[in-house]
Amino acid sequence: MVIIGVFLAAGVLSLIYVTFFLWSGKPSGVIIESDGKIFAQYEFNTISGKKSVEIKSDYGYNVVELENRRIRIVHSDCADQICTGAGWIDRPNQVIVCLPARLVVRLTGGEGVDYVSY
Amino acid sequence: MRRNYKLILIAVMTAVGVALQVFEAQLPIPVSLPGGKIGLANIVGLVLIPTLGGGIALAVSVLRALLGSLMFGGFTGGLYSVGGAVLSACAMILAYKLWYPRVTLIGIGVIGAAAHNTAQVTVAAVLLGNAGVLSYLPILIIIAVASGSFTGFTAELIGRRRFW
Repeated sequence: MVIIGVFLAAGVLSLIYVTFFLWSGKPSGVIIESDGKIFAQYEFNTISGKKSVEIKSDYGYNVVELENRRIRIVHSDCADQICTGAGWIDRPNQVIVCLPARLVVRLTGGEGVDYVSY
Repeated sequence: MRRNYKLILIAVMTAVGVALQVFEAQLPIPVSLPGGKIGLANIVGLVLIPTLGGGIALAVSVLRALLGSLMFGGFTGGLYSVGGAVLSACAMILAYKLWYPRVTLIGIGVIGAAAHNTAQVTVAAVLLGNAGVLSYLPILIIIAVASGSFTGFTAELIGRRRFW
């Protein structure tokens, strides 16, 4: 019982920290990393409408779609499809990971005025 | 215990673990969460620790993770599951040695599941060179509480009745 309580409390508290503090505000841009290196980087205020980006590496093929301060992985040739199932992300510091393809999609921003006023 | 008998037990228990993994992979999962699964194969480890000892439990879970990753994923997938299996088995053995009568198999199952998820996320963060991956951890710990309780409870029932 004590163990369950300790882990549940740790999980819930850190979940609150992540969702309300780490992920607060509006994202300003996106970084796409493939195999540990930055593949592409975009700022949302330079993008109008939808944009599709294809990422091909030794580990897999993915297509991400970004629009209006949010992003998702629309296609992946991996087996588990966890990355496409994650759907849209729209908060700074949120990530979508496709482990088999070694792909990380990360939203940036959230510091400064947005962060303080949240 | 005779050497051959030990070998056979390790082989049979590994096979049971792999079978449970295959069974779990067939279950339809409503939400897609990275690393969020029941971990049925961990029941084997939880039954083995009190009955045959930590050494056999560790050997079985490492072998099971290796076999499972050969069947389901490539080399990278193997790194995650072997890392998870080793840390999870060590954490459970340690928890058993330190606290067993006071902490039941349910608590040990929760510790094992949490250790497994922590190891997997850490291996992923290191391999991808991205600490943002760690933000998956809180929800995975909460899932570990549920799945670890379930596997621990099941192991407790099996251990008590000695079906095998």
